[in-house]
Amino acid sequence: MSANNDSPLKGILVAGVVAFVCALVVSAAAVTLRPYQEANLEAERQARVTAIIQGIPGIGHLAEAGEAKALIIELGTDRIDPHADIDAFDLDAQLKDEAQSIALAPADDWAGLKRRENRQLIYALVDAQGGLVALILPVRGLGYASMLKGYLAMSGDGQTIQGLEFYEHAETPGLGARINEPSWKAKWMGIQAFDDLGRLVIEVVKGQAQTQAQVDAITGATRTSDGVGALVRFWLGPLGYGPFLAKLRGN
Amino acid sequence: MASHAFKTLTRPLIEQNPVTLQILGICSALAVTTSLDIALVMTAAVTFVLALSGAAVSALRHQLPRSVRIIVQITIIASLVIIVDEFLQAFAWEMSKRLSVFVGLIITNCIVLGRAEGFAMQNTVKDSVLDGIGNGLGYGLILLAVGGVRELLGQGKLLGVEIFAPSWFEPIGLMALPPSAFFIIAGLIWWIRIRRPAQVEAKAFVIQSGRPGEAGDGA
Repeated sequence: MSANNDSPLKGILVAGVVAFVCALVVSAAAVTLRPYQEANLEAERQARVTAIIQGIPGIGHLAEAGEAKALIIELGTDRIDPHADIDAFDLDAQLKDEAQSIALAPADDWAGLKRRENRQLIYALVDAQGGLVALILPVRGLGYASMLKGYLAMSGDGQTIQGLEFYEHAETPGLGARINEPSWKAKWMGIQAFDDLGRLVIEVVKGQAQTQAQVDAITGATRTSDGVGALVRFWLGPLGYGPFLAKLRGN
Repeated sequence: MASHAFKTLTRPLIEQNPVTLQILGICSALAVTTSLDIALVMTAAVTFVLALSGAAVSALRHQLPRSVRIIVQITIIASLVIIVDEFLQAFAWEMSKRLSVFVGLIITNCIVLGRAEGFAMQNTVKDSVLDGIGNGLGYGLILLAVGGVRELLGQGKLLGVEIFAPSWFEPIGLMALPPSAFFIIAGLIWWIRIRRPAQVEAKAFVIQSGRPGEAGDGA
């Protein structure tokens, strides 16, 4: 049995059998544990929505009162679909359906998405008088090592960023993963995304931010920082929430 | 026989400790020792991988051609580590986020491959499991010591419970950073080698004086 242990055939056979058994075991673990992991991810997403809402200046009491209204917005336009079924919103299904999403030309695809859904589920925070206080907008885009998924909070006048939270990413720990550090998230607070003419002026810069529209990049994570800048620009731009925000700003 | 098994299990704790004697697994000992709870989970994960990879490699040892043995060992280790990672993501989400890449890096932890190649390939399944658990615990002992000191001095807490009141205790920022683990591990090695001089390595070379006429060691 062990006399011909070193024959090439035996090597291939043993390696193949071990690989096959290992593949079976790993697949079984991955498939059976998937529902638990997805539940964790969903809890994480909801926690981030709560966190971003509570981070908006002077908003805590509204969030507790449950005044966040879910709306379906038609991306690239200024329209809200009043008849849309919120519960049936399914991003993945949209991206797979040619009729419900568009392919992005490379020049327009700042966030590295390839396809953009036609509709998106946003949250509007409304005060007791019915005035719009803030919007919670889902955003995503390519970082350095992974797709970054998160939420961007915009003030009710469609002008000022009031928070940025990522609930899913796989950036390098200690470098790109610092996008979720409070100190960096704080830099996005109060950023003026648009100038007086309504042009998108926000940018991520190396070194010291000079204007109200600039954010410092994370040291050692330039590509992740650039990715965040690009995805914020994309989602606030003409193919994202730009037209809707422009309507809010009144021009 | 019982004493042999006991010895296999306990030898790696101090006498043959993988971290302080063999200086293996230092990378993760720096990274996952910022607090005690994270060190505990890492210890459990590494012990699990060591015990099961030892058992699997030992069971296969008579069928393993020499030319592919490392590939097979790594395949087994990697599969076990992925399973641990999946479990942590499913049932210990917060912990798995804090451990981040260091769970996956157990695959490249020298202790695991070292025990598979150095011990499990020559020993029975039972001994290999015991050796794996022993090495996991030996590694864990150092991790817990370092994690405990770092959490206590870095945050004034142990397992998240406040030990030093913030009214008088100023956390030592250095303890939150990886270099502090180097100092603590070095201190541990020093202390163990004072107690057990047999662990002191022979000098690899003797530094000679550069001045003419003073060559040699003071003769």
